[in-house]
Amino acid sequence: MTQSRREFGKLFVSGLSFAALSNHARAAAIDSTVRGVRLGITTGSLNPLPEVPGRDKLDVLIEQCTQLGVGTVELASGFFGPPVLGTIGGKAPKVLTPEYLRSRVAQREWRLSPASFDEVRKVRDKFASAGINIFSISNTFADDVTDAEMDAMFRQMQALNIKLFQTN
Amino acid sequence: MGPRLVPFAEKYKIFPSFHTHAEVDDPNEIATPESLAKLLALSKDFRVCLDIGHFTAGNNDAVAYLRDHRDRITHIHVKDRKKNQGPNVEWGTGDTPIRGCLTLIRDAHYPIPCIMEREFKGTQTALEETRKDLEYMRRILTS
Repeated sequence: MTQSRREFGKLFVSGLSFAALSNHARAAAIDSTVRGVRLGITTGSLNPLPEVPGRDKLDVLIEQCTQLGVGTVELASGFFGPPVLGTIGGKAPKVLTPEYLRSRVAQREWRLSPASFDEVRKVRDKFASAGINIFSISNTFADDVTDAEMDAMFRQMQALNIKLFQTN
Repeated sequence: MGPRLVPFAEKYKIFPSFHTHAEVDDPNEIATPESLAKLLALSKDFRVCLDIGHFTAGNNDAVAYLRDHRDRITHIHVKDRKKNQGPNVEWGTGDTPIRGCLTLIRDAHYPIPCIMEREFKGTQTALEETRKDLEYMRRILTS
């Protein structure tokens, strides 16, 4: 697909992205392809997101992606579930601090709960409604992750309709 | 962690794409063509997210790796760093072959998305810095 400078960021329906959207949340997809090359961003590129009172960070993120005409993102997994404290590059610290251990337990419980899937579906639908394709997520597996947790994480990625994830 | 991911990747048909780093002297890091080859040999489902900035900072040739391993690369992370473990810098002032990678993908029609990962802080807001970097990629592709 060839796209001129003027067309960059123009909204139109992209067949590939459209097919990936859930039935109830389809929207005209944002196509940020230039001369056949698909451009996108890691959502961390927009950090720090501005604090907007009363607004969810995810909504602010989606709004900024729309402003940029970005139709493809690699979503940071930090948008899902309770944060883990004291990690280094998404991995466990060498010395396991009490705060790390407490927050990891909370994260593990969340991942294994039905609520986590509800949240993942909500995130998926928000991006779909904005016409933004979650191409990938950034998902680093801590060394202390259990098999049950890994299985839940893969099922969550399945619920997001993604075919790959970036990992460290 | 690589071996533990194998059965899940096969079961769910979701590819783990390993992000390349610059720490070439650390045997636990994925930072050289050799460490990537070892990792990719673990599973046919394993892929590479080639971070061309980090790869360059580790004095590797990002264009050559992209060309030679395109069938295992899901996407590239775009940023600009200096060689010899140099810092992130304003795009266009570092050693990363951003132009070489983007034009190779464009001209050879590789189905490899170019995903910018902003690590250089700059002087403007994150939104404006991101806009600037996207514009940089667009200029290369339309030139």
